Formats: sequence, structure tokens, C-alpha cells
Amino acid sequence: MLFSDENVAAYINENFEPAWQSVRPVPTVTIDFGNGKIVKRTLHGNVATYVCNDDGTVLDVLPGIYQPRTYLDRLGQLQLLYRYVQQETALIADPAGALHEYHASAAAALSKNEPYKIAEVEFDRPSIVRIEKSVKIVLNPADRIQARLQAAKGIRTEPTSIAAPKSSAELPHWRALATDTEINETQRRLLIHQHLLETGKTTPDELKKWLYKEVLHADLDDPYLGLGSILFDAYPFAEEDQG
Amino acid sequence: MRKLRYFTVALLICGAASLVNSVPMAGQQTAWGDEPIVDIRPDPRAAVAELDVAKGRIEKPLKRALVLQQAVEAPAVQPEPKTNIEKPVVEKPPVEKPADRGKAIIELGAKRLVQLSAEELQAKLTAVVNQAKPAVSTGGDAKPSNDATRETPFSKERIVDSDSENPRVEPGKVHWHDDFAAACQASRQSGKPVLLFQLLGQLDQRFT
Repeated sequence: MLFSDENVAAYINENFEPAWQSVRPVPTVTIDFGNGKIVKRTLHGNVATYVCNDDGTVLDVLPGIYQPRTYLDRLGQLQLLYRYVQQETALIADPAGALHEYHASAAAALSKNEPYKIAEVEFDRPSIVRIEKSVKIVLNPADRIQARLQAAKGIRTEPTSIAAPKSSAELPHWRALATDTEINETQRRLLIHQHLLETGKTTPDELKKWLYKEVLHADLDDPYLGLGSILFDAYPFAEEDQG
Repeated sequence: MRKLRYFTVALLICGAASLVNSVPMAGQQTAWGDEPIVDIRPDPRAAVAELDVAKGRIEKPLKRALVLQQAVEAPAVQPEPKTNIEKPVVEKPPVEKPADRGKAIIELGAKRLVQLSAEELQAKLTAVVNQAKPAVSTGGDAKPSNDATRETPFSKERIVDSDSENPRVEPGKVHWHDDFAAACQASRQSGKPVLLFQLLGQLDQRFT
């Protein structure tokens, strides 16, 4: 759904080097009604978007599925982060320190339930500008700056009036997706910032097991993806099934 | 004397007629009280039920008539004399059934597996698993074949790929690199950050 969106696809194609990776087969559930009618659905899928350096170092992660506009906005933020890290690397050769500063500020803001944004700020000038050199990228929790950034990019909160979407075109306005997006941006990203603050430099392969287990609640080492207790605890024939 | 008799009879008839006219109908109020008169005459529905009994009377003769007609139309069939002589067995020409190819494929493979030693069996199974394994950790070139069937280690046998139950779809409108390493390589040249999208399942399959 997300990558079929024209705006999202065009933005990614223009600003990123994209690749996708499967971490394991997706569990599906098939219900055979016995009259020729068979319904198949995904049981417990989950996704994560990593933004990385050219050496594969993880800069940040967007956990789970997002509404398209919010996803675009966050990708824009992570693109700024990438530039900030590149700049710091070129100037002081300390990308780790720059990343540490970013994750510490973001974790602190989210811990206090404060939103945060990365803004490009010209040296010795507090106004927001978009130039290619002599800028410092800072975390700025000010609502005013966020509003201006959003207005500049044409990003607004997605209308979320649809309780039960009837087609894929209605999915961006699905209320459940809006709720999930909000949880991603608050609870899940807080966990990620705190973890990256502790681990420092890491790669997607090193991070994925922790991410899927602790943040997305899908334990990749568990054949039942952490759903075993739900499936078997109150089921008298559990041993036969697991046989 | 005879006149007296006629008079008496006429008197009785008149009395009876006036008595009948004075009796109210069922449900009517009587002149002497509020209680309605209960109709004690036999229920006409019961009479209909009785008619149902007569159905048999109608059907019976009809059946007889039909049996008689069939007997007239049908040629007289001579009952076979009961003997102990067995009937000669007439051999019917064999009917060719369509070959159960799917079953044969399953059974043939199973039979060959049974004939294999444990080591050979393990080698075969490993080869099958390796061939059927989805392209984990790749974004492009190492993805499984789009063909719904594929050759197996069992030479000419073909099995249905599980992909047919999870149809291929376009992985969005993004121009994906083949894998993460290729994206990193491209990033070194373009100066753009790498975006890695991780998921359960395959992005180019319907169920992900």
C-alpha cells in the first residue's frame, strides 16, 4: 500500500537508495469453510524502515506501518539526519557523537511526551533555511518550527474518519492506521532511540532480532512468533498440535 | 274423529315451527340472558377430515386402473425358471480410465524415497529445501522463480510451487536495488542515504 503511493514512491526514488529484505516468511491463516469458500489472511505481519549510511550503519528506524503523509515527513527528517551525520563526519570525523546526540535528544523529548523535529538552522541565524552548506541540524521541539516545516512541505495531519476501509484507496484514512502511526511515533520510537543510545553503531542485521521482539512483538526466534501463549495456553489439545 | 287427528297433527307442526324460529343462532344473545349460545353442531372441518379418509377410496381404484393399463401395454414376461445352473460369465471390454497423474507423482516420489538409504534421503531433502527456500535477505535477483511449477531433484517430476497460493504482485512503484549491499554500494556513488525496508514475507507477494 505504502510503496504504491505515487508521492511516497517518487520521494524515495529521488532521495534514497532503497532495498527490501525479508526477515522470515509471513504467517498466514487459512479458513476453509468446506463449501469451496476459502479465506486466507496474514496473521501477524510487521515491517520496519531503516535509514542507513553507505557503510550500513543504522541511523534511525521507523517501526511498523505508517500513514503515507507522516511516513514522508519522517523520511524527510531522517534525510536531514543523514546529511547532519555526513557533515559532522566531514568536519570533525565524529559521526558516532552526532548520532549519540540525536538519539539522546529524541529519547529525552519522547520521554516527556514532547514532539521533536530535526531542523536545519543556519549558523548564527535562528531562522530555518534550506541551503546546502554552513548549516547545523538540530533537534527542535518547538511547535512553531514544526508547523512551519510541515506547512513548507505541504504535510498536514491525515484525515482519519474511516473506521472500516472498503478499498485500498481508503487505507490512508483508516482510523486504526492513524492510531498505529501514533504509537509508532511515540512508544516504539522511544524504545528504539534508547536502544541505539546504548548500542551505538549497529547494522540492520544486528538490530532486527531485538527490534522485532521488543518493539514489534514478533519474536523471530520463536516458531510461533510470540503468539504461542495465545494459541495454546487455553487449548486442551495444544500438545497434539505442537507434536 | 279423523278431523280431530288432523287438527292435533297440524297443531303440533305449528308449535314445532314456532319453537324452531324462536331458537337463536350460535353467538347470538338470547332474549332471556347474556350468555351466548354454544353451537353444539358437528364441526364442518371434521367433515373435511372425513373426506380425507375417502382419498384412499379414490386412489385405490385409480391404482388398479393404472396397473391394469401397464399390464396391457407391457409384453408378457416369462418368469425365469429357478434352476441351479450358473449364468455364463460375459466378459466386458475393459474401460480405460484417465490416468491419475497427480497421485502417481506423489506415489512415485514416495516410493523412491522409501528405497533410498538414510544418507541419500537426507541429501535429497536438503536439496529440495535449498531449492524451495525463499530468497531471504535479498531484494531482487535472488528471488524465487515466477514460474508456478519447477523442476525437482526427482528428474522429470514437477511439483506445484507454493507461490501459486501467494501470487506475485508488483512491489510498489519504488525502484528497489537487488539487496542491501547493492543499495550501500549505490549510496557511496550517489551520496543518498540507504533505505532498507524489512518485512515478514516477500514484498512482491500478495500476503506479506
